[in-house]
Amino acid sequence: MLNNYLLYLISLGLAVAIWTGCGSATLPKDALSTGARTVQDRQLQSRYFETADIETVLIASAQLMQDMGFNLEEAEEDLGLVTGDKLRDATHAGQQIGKFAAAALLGVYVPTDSDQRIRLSIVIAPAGEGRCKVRATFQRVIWNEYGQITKMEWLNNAELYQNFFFALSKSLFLEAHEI
Amino acid sequence: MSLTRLNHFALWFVSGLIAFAIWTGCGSASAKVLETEHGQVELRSIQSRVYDTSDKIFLLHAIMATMQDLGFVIDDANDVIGTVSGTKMDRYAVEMTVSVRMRGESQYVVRANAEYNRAAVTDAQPYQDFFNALSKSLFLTAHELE
Repeated sequence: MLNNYLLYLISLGLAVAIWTGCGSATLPKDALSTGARTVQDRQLQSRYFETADIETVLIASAQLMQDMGFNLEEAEEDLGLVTGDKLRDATHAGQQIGKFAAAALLGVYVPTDSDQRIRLSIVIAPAGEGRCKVRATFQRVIWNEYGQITKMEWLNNAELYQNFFFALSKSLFLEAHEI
Repeated sequence: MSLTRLNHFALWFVSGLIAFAIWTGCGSASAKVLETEHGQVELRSIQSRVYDTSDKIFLLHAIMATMQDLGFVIDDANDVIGTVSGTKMDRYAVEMTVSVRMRGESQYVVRANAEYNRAAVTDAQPYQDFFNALSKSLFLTAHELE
């Protein structure tokens, strides 16, 4: 009886091990194709600036990233690229209250979000006579107290990009006036 | 053979199989480093397209714009070597590197390789999707690698 149970358990374990294998490479459908939101997202994440001086826009972008506390990872002048990331606290009140309530009422410990890494890349490309296009993309990864990833997401909140481009315009002004 | 003996045999067999699976792991280190389960020629053909342009910077800009359209954050780019790398996070994570190399005087070969869930993506369809998006961005038709 015990042997039977053990046998089933081991077989099940083996089946799961074979099923999960060493990682599967079947991408989610449409992972590399454009969709209905592509144009909308592009508009949200892009702004045109009335200057062809990509170097100045790059410097203003790098300065802005430092203003926002990002560590610069990579900068490529000829392709107009600057990337960076920052590690920040990801705890929030709602989850903490939920955690204490679960512990008090149910006696279970629910791990809550602990850290997040926010990544940003800015690409500046020429866009016709006397203009350039700046496109910024943000994403973040959140870990819980056990170091497990709980969320990986692409940030496409309209307010975030509006504020970002407002700050970039300001940074360009400061750069132009050498402040 | 009694039922108990049969169970014992099956138990040993399955345990042996697990031990073997653990021992072999996910393949030896050299097999993982040099993984060539797909033929090199077949893989290159799936992952590459030829574009009629001699403008490398234009091509690299289009690749970055396409990757951003697809939700990638660009991690790294180099115009001398002709590479762009990025990561997409959308509940899952995909990493992709795209390289360009000149072929003849007026063509570039664009090659993409993606990684998902700790394995190389070797299906043809995702690459086809990527090159369709890139072609739209470039207003150019992609040719299969010959």
